[in-house]
Amino acid sequence: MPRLRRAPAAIEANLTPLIDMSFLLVVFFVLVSRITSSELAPMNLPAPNDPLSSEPGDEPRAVLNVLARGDDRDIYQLGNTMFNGDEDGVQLLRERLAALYRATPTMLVNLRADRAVQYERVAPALRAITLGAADASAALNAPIPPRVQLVVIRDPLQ
Amino acid sequence: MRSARHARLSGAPRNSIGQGFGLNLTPMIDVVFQLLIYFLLGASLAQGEEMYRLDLPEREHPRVRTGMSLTLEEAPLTIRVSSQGAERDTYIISVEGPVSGAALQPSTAADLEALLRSAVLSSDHPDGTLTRRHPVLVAPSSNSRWEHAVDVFNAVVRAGFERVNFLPPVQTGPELSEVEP
Repeated sequence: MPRLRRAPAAIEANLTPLIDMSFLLVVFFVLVSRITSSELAPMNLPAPNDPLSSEPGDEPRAVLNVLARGDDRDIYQLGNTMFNGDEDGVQLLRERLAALYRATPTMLVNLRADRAVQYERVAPALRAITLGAADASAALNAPIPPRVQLVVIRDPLQ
Repeated sequence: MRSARHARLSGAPRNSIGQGFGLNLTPMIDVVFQLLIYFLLGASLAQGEEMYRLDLPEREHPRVRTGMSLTLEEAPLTIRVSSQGAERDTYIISVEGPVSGAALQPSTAADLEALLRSAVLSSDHPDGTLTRRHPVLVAPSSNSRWEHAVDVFNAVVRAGFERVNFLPPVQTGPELSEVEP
């Protein structure tokens, strides 16, 4: 009886799982970057001459945007939540900041304000940060310093 | 036959039945390049945003006595800013405090920086009257543009001062209720 001989088998590494994982990673990073960028409202940030600012660190932080609008509606954006510029809106902003400070007492607040915004819109935001930290400090019975980072943009032509 | 000999000479790996095999790295290289392009684009989009550190005065709650609140033991240097237009450098600066020449009203942020540099006590200016820890308050008027306030803030920081903060505007926005005792 003749003995059958097998055809020589080709040996290859199966890269399909690697490619699958790579695409999952790409999708993950794209989604994360979209979530992160949704906190950054589109605006024209101040661009001072020869700024003595520094690159952002890795500390836990919240992003508070102050938008340039003609009326009081949706002036402030904390994360993805909008707040009006009237008294009630600023009070809600303070309460939201206090809740964030209670969860993360070492939190930094990145203040992004449009260069055309008038200071009377920025000052209530600074005050809400101070009072929000004080509220959280009272709730936790521990000092919480209100730490703010003013966000500017470095002009690439400078 | 020639290719098998070439493979043998080139040291290519061989399986047990003598056939050469190799890894198909093309898809992996494709994916790696895609990731590289993605991160390059992401990095270039995020480029430019930078931060100034601003430690707001800590409001001491009546139930949390820390004794760490910012107390101004020295008369602060107050720099008032008032926008006169929407263009860059269209604002008026006035300096109030223990600085000689303050009444000169620097016309630009660069002039303000030069004035403050000359007032800071350092090896270059041994006759300076202020230390770097002297409190400085930037006081924009209520209708001042934020970019003008930041220009002045940057000038103060560039002059070397370390304790710089913002004062509430004269006509404040919505007032917040105070912390309850």
